[in-house]
Amino acid sequence: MRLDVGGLRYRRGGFFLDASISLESGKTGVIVGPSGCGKTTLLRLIAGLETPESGSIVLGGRSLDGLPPERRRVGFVFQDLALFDHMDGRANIAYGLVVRGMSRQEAYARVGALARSLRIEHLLDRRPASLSGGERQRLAFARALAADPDLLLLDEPLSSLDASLRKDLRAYLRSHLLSRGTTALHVTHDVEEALELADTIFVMRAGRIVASGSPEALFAAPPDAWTARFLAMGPLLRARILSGSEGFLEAATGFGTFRVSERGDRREDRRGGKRDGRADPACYLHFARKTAKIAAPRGEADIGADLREAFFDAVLVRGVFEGGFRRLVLAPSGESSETIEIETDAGFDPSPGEKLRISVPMDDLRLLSSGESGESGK
Amino acid sequence: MAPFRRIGFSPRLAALALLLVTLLPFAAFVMASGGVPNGGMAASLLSALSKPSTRSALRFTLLQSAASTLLALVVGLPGAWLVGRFRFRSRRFLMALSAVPFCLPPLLVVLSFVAYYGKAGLLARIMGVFGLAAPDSGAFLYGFPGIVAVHAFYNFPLVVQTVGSIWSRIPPSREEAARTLGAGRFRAFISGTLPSLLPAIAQSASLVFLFCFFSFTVVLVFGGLAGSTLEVEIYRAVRFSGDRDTALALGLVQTIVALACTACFGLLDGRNKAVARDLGRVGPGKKPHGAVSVILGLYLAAVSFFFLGPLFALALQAFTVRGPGSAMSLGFGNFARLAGGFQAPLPKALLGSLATAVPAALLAVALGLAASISLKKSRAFDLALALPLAISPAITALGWGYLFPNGAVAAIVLGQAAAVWPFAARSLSGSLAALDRDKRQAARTLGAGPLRSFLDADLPAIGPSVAAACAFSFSMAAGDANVPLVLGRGEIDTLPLLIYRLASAYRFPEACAAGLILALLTGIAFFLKERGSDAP
Repeated sequence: MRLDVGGLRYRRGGFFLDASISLESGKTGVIVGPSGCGKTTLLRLIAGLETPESGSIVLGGRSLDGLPPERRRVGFVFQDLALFDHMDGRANIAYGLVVRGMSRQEAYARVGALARSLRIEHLLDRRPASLSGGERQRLAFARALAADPDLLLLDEPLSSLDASLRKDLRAYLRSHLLSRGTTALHVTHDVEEALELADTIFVMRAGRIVASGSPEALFAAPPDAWTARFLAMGPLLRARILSGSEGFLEAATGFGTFRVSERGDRREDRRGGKRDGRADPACYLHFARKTAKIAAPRGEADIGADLREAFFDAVLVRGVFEGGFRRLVLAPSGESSETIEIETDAGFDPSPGEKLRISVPMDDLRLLSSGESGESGK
Repeated sequence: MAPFRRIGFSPRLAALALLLVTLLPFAAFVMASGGVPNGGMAASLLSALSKPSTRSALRFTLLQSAASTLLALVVGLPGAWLVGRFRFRSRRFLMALSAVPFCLPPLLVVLSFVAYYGKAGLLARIMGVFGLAAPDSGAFLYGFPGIVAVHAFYNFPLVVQTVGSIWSRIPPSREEAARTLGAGRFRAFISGTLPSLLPAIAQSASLVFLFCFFSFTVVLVFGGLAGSTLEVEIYRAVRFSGDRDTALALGLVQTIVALACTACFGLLDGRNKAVARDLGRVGPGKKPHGAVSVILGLYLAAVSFFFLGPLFALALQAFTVRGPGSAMSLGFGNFARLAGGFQAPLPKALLGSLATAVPAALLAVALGLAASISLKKSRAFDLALALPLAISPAITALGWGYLFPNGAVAAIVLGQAAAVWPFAARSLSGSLAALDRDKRQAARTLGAGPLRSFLDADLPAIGPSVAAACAFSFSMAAGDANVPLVLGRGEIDTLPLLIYRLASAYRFPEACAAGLILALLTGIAFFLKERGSDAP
């Protein structure tokens, strides 16, 4: 079922939420954002657990406005899972069917079939207290799915699990959501989780959706520096624009001056709104971490000499072996506090303090506004 | 409890002392009554049960306890919901009221109810000002409804505290999950919240039932027309008939019923603690708004009117001085008469209260500490705490009286300590269980010996709880009227005895003045308990 949330407004104390999202039928949307930005509140508003001041929620063409939670046909997996400890797994899963009037016998038959498809038959006769974290999570997922909801809301259900179990369960959730064609909205602050589960990512900040799109689209063209930083998309160099002509901008950074192609879309955003040569703290130069390469040393820095590559010099602060690659922390000079990180081959192991020449494809260089106003990506 | 063992504490000796304190007076009473009756205890019990008076007292005791418990739940559960689910300014006050059953002597509650609801009470006077005729409250107060009302209003804060503290830990997400799965509000509550709440409700109900079952002062004053509890019958059998056999048989009946009740309480207490452990931390709660604000306002108004109103009336009555005719004014005349008036030796009663309550409190805390350390949190600990609650305080007091025929103070001190120490133990066990072994071991690795590490690492941690338990035990002992009344020794006077005598002599304003002094004395614990210890 397609979900359309329009102009949903909610206020509590000093917090104000104003959000609009659309999600195609059968797709999984993931809301990411820092703690307290309103991700959970948005889910609770959609589920009818909180009442908005204004706005509309339409699910599969049916308006949910004013409906109590039990009539919305929206499944919810809570962060603490909220399993009923006094019921066994079977009764937990069957709960939504039984309260909607299905006979217990029929409900249990459906639970059996669902449990087989989700590979959780062994959990049916056990109480939640006797289950492991992963088993409890699977049970809560099955309970939410059993009544065949039009929309499934998942509020950081994996947050309390260890890293390896989280990874397993991400794959489990993804495969079952895909196979059932369930429209789902998932909340997390884990970028890796968002990338694995999402058809569409919604980036939320201070009660607003500040960016949205497929993971590929967001990574190909981050809307602003705040989103790029939050999604760990790569190095951000504070920049000021010196001049611009013939489709290029000259941007000064702590690592030198870069010539950046000025693309047609959202030009003003990339310029940071200023071109008068004054320092503009709200403007950043960005490139993908993996596209940076170690270049052969030259006699002198000639940034922008090659139209396809930009070069700059940096001093290695430290290198960290990360298994499949080495993460290099670089600074413009030995004294500078500004650092960036790039990834190189695991075998490349320079010494701290060593001067390196880095190359970045020109096409990857982007100037981003800070995004601090919180609305740039909207 | 390694730190205590290292400083010379013997758990076995402590357990033996507890057993002695609990069973010795009972055995002394049996021996003083002529030993085990011919045919054994069972025959004596059957014989007692065959008497209509015993059956009537048992029926009345059970009936008034059940009705009082039910009313306490009806009044307490809405309060538990409010303090459990919402955060508001007077929330702490509502939770702190749970100290009232322990710190406000029953005698004062009786006095304040008469001062408020009585024929010439504050309510009747206020209604008179507006030209309204006050209803005849005598039949209500001095009968079954009066007993039930006093018990319910005396004990409902226990329900608020016990159930409310669990309610605040139950995540609202359980009910919300039920709602999103298709359940309406009521069904979501039944599925999501009630299962975790039931042990707390049953536990608080069993505690209230137990308190009402052993009710003495309230029934002694209000129950004349309606009936009498087993505890009052024991007192009457010994004091007025000298019939120790009947007293022993009644005591046995009472103990058997109370043992069943304490076993039930112990079981539910364990379940409740397990639920609290599983639920984890207290949730943040919501600010009340809309309909909840209205309900909260009504509830607080009702508590103020029905619960605080009588206490205010008691204070007002204490300062009300009767002039010539029906003229009344406010002043300190009642206190002046108490201090130097005829048959009203306030200084002696005050000193008597201090002379008994202070050592009784210290002994109770020592026994409570011994129980907490030697038995830790185990079934034996629960049993040790439950056993004194199941034995009639009147029998225990009389037993100590027989053991100390020439020492009224010693008998009262031991009788009160025996009644109070289980509450002190409950209050202390939490902080003892939370002692940080790492801190003690850190002190040892830094060169401190066993005693020094105990003094530096453990004592500061348990010190505030011990101080609070002392104040709390003092309040319970100072407010106790049962033991001195049952022992009926003339050598020592205490404030509760003085109040009882004044009230019996219809010197009501002076009784209220003495009651106010007692309330101030016992009220200290009200504040200290909140600061340093777990709930009793």
